[in-house]
Amino acid sequence: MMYKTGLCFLFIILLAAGVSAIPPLPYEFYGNVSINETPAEVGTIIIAKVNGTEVGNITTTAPGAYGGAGTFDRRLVVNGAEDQIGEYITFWIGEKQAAQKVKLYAGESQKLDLTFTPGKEGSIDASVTPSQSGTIANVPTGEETPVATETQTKAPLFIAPIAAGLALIILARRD
Amino acid sequence: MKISPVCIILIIMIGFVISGVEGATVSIQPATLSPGNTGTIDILLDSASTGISGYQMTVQSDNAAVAVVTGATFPSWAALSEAVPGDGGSYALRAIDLNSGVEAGATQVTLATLSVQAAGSGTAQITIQNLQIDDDAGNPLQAEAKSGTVTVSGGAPPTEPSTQEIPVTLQTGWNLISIPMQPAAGFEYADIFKDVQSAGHSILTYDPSAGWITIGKGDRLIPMTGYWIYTTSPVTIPLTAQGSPTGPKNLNAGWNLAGISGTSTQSAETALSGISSWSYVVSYDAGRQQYRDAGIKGGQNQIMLTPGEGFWIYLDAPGTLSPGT
Repeated sequence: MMYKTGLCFLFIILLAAGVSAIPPLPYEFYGNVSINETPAEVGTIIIAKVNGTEVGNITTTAPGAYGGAGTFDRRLVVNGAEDQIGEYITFWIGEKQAAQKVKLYAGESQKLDLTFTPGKEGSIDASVTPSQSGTIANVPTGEETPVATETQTKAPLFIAPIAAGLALIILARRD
Repeated sequence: MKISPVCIILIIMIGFVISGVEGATVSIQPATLSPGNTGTIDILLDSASTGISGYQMTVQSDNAAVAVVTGATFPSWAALSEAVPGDGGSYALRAIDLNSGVEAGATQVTLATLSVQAAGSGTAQITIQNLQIDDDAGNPLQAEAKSGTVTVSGGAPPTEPSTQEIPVTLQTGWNLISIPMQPAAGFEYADIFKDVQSAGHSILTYDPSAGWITIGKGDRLIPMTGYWIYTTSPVTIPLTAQGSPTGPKNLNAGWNLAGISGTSTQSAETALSGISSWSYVVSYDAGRQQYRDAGIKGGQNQIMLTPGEGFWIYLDAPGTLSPGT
């Protein structure tokens, strides 16, 4: 009986998990870029990655610079998923990795000068203090009055049924 | 009658040549709209036998009194893309397939989806010019361009609308706004926000199929679409709208950024009553810089939607958000 009840809890959670999270706002970057202390050429493609997966790119249109600070300037727009928030963004030109790395947050924009120097890959943590946590919303989970909170943690109501389901399955197997 | 081997070889060679030059077709799908409404039209490539690596073309309506192209979105395979407004209501479309999303042998490939604004009754041809497509090897792909007919009917011709001031008030930080009416001439494009001190943040909207979309200053503002705008200090942007209501807005399955039209605040249940597939709606409090409590369809908490404010809405299946009053 408890085993079946546990499965029911997990099934409800799987149903609830069918709704994906509200997409976090992108993180935007612009600034100077140099390779071996030489300004990067026009047409250079800078790729942003999180855990090896591309999350954005930009092609330079001026020597030694990528993007700009104006509202309508092009920038390196990093589209991360909610579960990637807090992970490091790394920056690449081909197989070369920039010295700078930045933690992914939602809704930020940062002037970040990128330097590509052998032996310095990922050695500079240029992360900022997140200021836009209010733009992160939790996914409603099927409760009558779901609340979009301003924190990045899962609501306890979401975790509790999972724990309860697993506990009931374990207890049923012991019996 | 004896046919010489030379003739047979010639016939075979001619056959190969004919099959070799038989090109693909890029066509704009026909559409029927009501006066004053906005619709979307796909541009399709019927076959890509050798894949495609990118394309460019210019699209334009031949009868602006009936329908005009107001923008374009691109499918997910177009890793790099842009729609640049040009002279006479034309749009230059460019897209590059960086990740081999369109492979050899693909058929019915969506190249772009046009947004078309209907004006007065009649028909208009949406034409394609300067079409260039490259295949996966970088060679030109021969393709015939076929225009699409937009028929505007089913309603009285739009009368000269009266204008209305609906300024956009922005709070410090992120704001989620929408345009609740059709902007008047001179206020149709995103450059009305050019003086906003955005601290390096783009104006953004979101489409479930395309993801985040960065708005350029030449992009037309689409009513009932949600836009995120950042400012370092409170500012009010003048905006004059036509008095006539806007057309319906198509929404896709997944999370959409939308807004209601008109001038009256409505409950979510009322404003979204025409959509059977919506599940959740979440708006953003710019004054507090955080999301408000989410609304769930059929839930007990009454969520109010205000014209001029954008909101997230989750749909299980595509739907249409009808204009309010």
